[in-house]
This record gives sequence, structure tokens and C-alpha cells, in this order.
Amino acid sequence: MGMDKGLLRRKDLDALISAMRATAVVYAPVRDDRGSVMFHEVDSALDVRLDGTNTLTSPKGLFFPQREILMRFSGAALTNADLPDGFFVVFGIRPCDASSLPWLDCVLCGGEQPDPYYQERRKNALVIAAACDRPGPGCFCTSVGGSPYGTAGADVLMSGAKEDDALLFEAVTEKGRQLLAANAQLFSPADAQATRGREERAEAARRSMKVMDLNGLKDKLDAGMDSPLWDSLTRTCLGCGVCAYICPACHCFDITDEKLGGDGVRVRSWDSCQFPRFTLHASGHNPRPLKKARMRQRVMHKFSYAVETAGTVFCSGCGRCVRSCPVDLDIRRILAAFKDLP
Amino acid sequence: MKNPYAPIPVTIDDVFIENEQRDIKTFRLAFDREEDRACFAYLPGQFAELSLFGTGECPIGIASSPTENGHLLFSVKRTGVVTGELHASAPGRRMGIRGPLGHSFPWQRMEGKNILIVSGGFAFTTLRSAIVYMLDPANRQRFAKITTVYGAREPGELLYKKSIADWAARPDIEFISTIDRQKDGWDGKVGLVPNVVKELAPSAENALALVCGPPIMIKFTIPVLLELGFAKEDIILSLENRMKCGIGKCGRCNVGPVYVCKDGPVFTWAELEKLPAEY
Repeated sequence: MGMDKGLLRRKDLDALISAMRATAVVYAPVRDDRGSVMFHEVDSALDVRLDGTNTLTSPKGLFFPQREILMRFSGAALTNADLPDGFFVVFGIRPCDASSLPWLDCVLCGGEQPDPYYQERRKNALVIAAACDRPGPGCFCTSVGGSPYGTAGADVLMSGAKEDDALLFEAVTEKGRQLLAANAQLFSPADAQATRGREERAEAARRSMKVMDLNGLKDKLDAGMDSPLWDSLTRTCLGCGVCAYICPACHCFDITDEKLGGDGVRVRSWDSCQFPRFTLHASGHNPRPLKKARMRQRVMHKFSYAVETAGTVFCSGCGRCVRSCPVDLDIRRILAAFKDLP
Repeated sequence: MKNPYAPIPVTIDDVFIENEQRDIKTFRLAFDREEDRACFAYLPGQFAELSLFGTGECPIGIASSPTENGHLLFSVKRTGVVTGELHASAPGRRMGIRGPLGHSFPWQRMEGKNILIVSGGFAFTTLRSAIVYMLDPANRQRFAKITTVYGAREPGELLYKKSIADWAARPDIEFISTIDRQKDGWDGKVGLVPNVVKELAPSAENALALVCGPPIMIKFTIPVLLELGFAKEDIILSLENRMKCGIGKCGRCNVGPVYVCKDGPVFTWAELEKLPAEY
């Protein structure tokens, strides 16, 4: 049994976080000591930042850590790392980042051999998304099928209500309904008065964003594999890979061994197709020796290959790669250039 | 739940030096546990990740045939960190493998067909597996004529020399080995693989071609096969790319919409022709 909607007074947020902390670790956007807003564990509502633009890096690392031990070995004896256990709540994830989770599921849980570490974390997590009333510079979710009030990948969507004195919680999944039911004493009924303005806010957020028409983009990209645009558009790329590291949908990884004496670990860590050594064969042959081929791979994977293999683009329009690129290589410019090809 | 990153424990039980350069060795691996041996069901064309704890893993085609029960063979060229350490390993060393990975040659489609095998140099490994498999008495009648053209720069670089001699003497397979340039003591064929195939002119009628070799050999062999009348769907190749996970997750071996590990490594020329040449 669950509950579909509820209204929480802002001052009761602390009580909700405390209640969730009884059974789970709660992660939320926090301004850290370097001044960046990032997901960290919180023990109260005090530090939680639901306003402002999105976190600097995506919260995918809560499910797919940047560095993770897969195996431990001692000489020739090998043990699997323990599967992650314990429930956790991702509180205040933006709809763009939540919408990327089903794509990571496709890759990491899909196929005949699901990734047990990622799968376990997904099973153990509750995802509470915070609707986005002020999309940031570089954001383009509405151009890639998303929305500032989107619910894909979320168990609950919360948005401001009652002149922002309260938060409207809308359950999306059964897990979300259970959260509301379990904390029913904190919520008041979300009647018509409570939800007034909800649609207008969602519409205003949507309208604040410029929409690119990307219909037919895949065909243009497929036809343009050898286009000279790849040279001209990627000339400034430094190959730094920041676009992949901060992306909520990028999921490529490396596996390396670390050893001291006879003991060691086998580690999985994030990697990027923007690095020349990503594809370098031991023989010295490199299938993608040029940066234009590497940037083409990133764009094609998200906007063509993923459409073929998963039926969706692998880009949520979160805008991080637009904001963080040191040479202003704006992926929207690449998409628009190919879209405009005859 | 089975952990796909967990290697199966094996022990090197024999090592053979394959070539005069001494940079290709075949490792015979024995399963440490009987239940792993019983579960390791594979077909020729598949590969496995060889796993040295503390050093890393590398993907290598399986050179043994499932008909050779009890052990696995991997022929490995000394190239990088993992293969270097493997080459320095002696029988008795314990290690791991993950697999079998990828798709095999299309054995169902191959039933009843004339099979042409074209190979060069070091890429012969999974084709050794295929030949041993087809020549097994239990399987031989499932295939029509079997023809093989196998070439190397010089005689010392041909792999599996003893098996080659046996096959060349058998009536149930036409096995032609060739070297690029004449060398003293060689009384076999001389000529580049694509030229030898052209001269042999095997019929494309009811036939499939398995082609594994260096890129330059592939490049010149495919036009020859097309000219002989082989359909693009009937030319079967095997790709290599850098890999880590081997199960379609890490993204490294991605070529267009496919992953070499989980969708390949075996592809038809009709499939490959549509992909970007990023392999």
C-alpha cells in the first residue's frame, strides 16, 4: 500500500531526512569545502541545496563509483569484493540526471551478464528527484526528450509548492509510494489547493529553455561519418575527457590491477573514449588515432548507436559538458551543424 | 548471482614455443576444479580473457577445440604487459580465465557446406580450433569439402607445424600452406595468401569462407573471394579490438553500434562493410 502524493512543509524536511536516515544513508547536493555543489552524505536538511544549478558532477558515481574494487587477490588466491549493501537515498537529483539511470541500467544490467555491483546499488536505492525551476546556462533537456519536471528514473518527484513554503512529493514508482506511506505523519494531503500552480511552474520551466529541433538527426549523423565537419568542429578539443567524467550517461570504464608484494586488488575506474590510449592495441595499432574520430565516437554513441541498440539517445541535456569544456566545444553546436546538413 | 568479473582458476600445464622468433607460445591450461571444466561449454571462434592476478587481463582466441576435452589451448604473441608476463611463466603457474566470451563461427550455417579457410600468420589460432573440431570423427560428416590456405612470411612463422603436416597428409581436408618468399628447405607453395586463393579458385557453390589474418591479407583476400562468387554474407571474419570487460559494458571495443566482445568477434563481411573501420 502506498500513497501517491503528499505535501511536506519545508521546515519538516529535516524530520523526513532523519526518518529516512533510520534505514538508509541519504545523499544530497551539498556545497563542499572547495565551494562546489556535489552529492554528499547528509545528516540533516541544513546543508541540502535544492536551489541553484545542478551539481558540478553527475550523481552517477553513487551507483557506479569512479573507482571500485572488483576483486582482491593474495598470490594466486582470489576473492570477489563484497557486493555493496545497505539502502541509500539519492535526494534532490535533477530530472536530467535521474533520466540517465535507465540508460546505465540498459548497459550495465542488460545483456546476459549483468554487472552485480551496479545492479545491487540500483536495487538498494531510492531516487527522489527535485524538479528544476531554473534550468542553467547550457541546459538542453527539452531538446533531447527530457523535461525539467520529468520523472524518468525517479521514484519520487518533488517540486516547490505554496509559495515555496512547502514541497509537493509525487510518487512515481511503488518504492516512492511506500516512502510517502511510511512517513505519512509528515505529509498533508495534496489537495487541489496544494497542487495549484504545479502545472504552471512546470510549463514556465519548460518555456524558459530554447528547444533545438533534432528530428532526423540520427540519419544526418549516420550519413555524415566522413564529413569534414568533424575536422572543423573538433579542432579545438584538448582531449581532456572532462565531458565524459561529468556526464550522467557516459559509462565507459577501465579495469586495472594494483599490487604491493603478493597482495593486490583488481579495480574498475571510469575511462573516456576521448583518450587516445582508450583504443590503443598492444601492437601499436590504434583504431581511433585522431581526436576527430574520438569526438565523433562520443557524439555517435549518444545520438546514433544508442538509438539503434537501446532505442533512445544517451544524452539527458544536463549541459555539464557545455559548461565545463575548457575550450567551449559545445555539443549543441555539433548537433546543430549535422542537423543542418542538406 | 554469477559475478562475470570473477576468473575461473586454471593452471598452466604445458607451454610450447610455436615459431622461430620465439615470440608466440601456446599455453595449455587445466581447470583447477572439475565443475569448471564441465561447465566451460564453447565452440570454435570464441575467446576468453586470460587473467594474471596483479598484472591484468588480455582477450585471446581459444585455439583448442571442444572435442579436445580436458584442457584449453591459447596461442599468445608476446606484445604487452600481460602477454610478457605470460611468456615468462612456466608450467605450474596458477592463473585465471574468464569465458567463453563472444560468438563462435556460425556453426549452424556451416553445416553441409563446403568450408574454405583462409588465414595468415598469427591469426590462425581460432581456425586451428575450427579445423580440429570439423575433422573430429563425430563431426566430419556434418561438413562437405574442407579447404585451407594458410600462409606466413617464412616457414618458421607457421603455427602448429606438426598438426599442419598431419592435415596436409589427410584425404579429408585439402590443406595448403604457403610462404611469402622462397626459402631453402621449403618444398611447399610460395606466394602471398590472396594470390594462392586466386590461383586455387575454390568454388563458391554451397560454400562459406572463414578468413582470419593481418589487415593487409584481409584487404586483398576479400576482392578475390567476391570475384570467385562468394556472397558478402558468406565471408566470415573475426575482429580484434582492445577490450577490458569482455561482456559489452566497458565500451572499449565499440565499433559503430556493435561491441566486438559481445556482438562479435565473428562478423560477416556484409556486416563489417557497414561499420566504421574502427578496428
